[in-house]
Amino acid sequence: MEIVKNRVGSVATLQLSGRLDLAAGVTLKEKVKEEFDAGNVQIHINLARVDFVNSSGLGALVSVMKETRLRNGRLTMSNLASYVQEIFEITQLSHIFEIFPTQEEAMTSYDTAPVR
Amino acid sequence: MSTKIRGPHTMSFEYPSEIASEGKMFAELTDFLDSVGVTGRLRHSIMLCVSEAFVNGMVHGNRLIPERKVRMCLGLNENRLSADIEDEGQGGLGEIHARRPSELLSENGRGIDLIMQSADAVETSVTPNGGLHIRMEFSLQRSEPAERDSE
Repeated sequence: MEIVKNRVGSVATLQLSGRLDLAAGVTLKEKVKEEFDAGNVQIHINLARVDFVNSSGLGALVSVMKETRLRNGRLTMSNLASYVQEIFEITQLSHIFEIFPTQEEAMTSYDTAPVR
Repeated sequence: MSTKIRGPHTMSFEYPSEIASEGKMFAELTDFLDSVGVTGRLRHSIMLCVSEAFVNGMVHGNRLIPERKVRMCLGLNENRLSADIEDEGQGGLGEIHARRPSELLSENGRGIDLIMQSADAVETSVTPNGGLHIRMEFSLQRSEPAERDSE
């Protein structure tokens, strides 16, 4: 799993590539914690290059979401491949994550969202 | 380090229970699927189920104790592909039978549900040493929705 971090306005973006599995989940949580430690609580995860996710990866995403909420932040995701989207639907996690078709749409939602 | 024991249409591997084994398992599983020409949604389902059973055995069965091994056996016949995952833990079958559905915000507990959803047949049993053995079978003649074949 490769994670490329960037910033778009006030939002920290993480572009993931590869499998989101047990090992990658550990790395993801570490990378997001670095953002929290830097004071960034608006997090966007772009999954365009993730071709596989299992329950360990889902658990890491749930953990990130809960940590973000604890900090009064916001977590969005975008660009889910069809297989990945299907796993989110089977597990009903598609109901609790803010998922956008594209990163651009997610970024626009930050512009228009009320200040929390 | 994992060990390839047999080939080419039945292959067995053994892994220490450490996180690095996950990547080795994926590499050997994808090699096997490449060698037998399994692609598309079926390939994804097999990878998902095997990874769920593997991580369950490594983390929950063997408690990530490297000396405890997880074994993966992959087999292929004319119509079905089988995957057997075995750990050296204790009480895993009882834990599976006693488990409650995972809550939406739970960080774990979804693996067995994903296996049940994605495999065509699942059997669980206890090994002579008390470990958990999960056997999963996949029909090679699944009918897949046409629009998803190209995904």
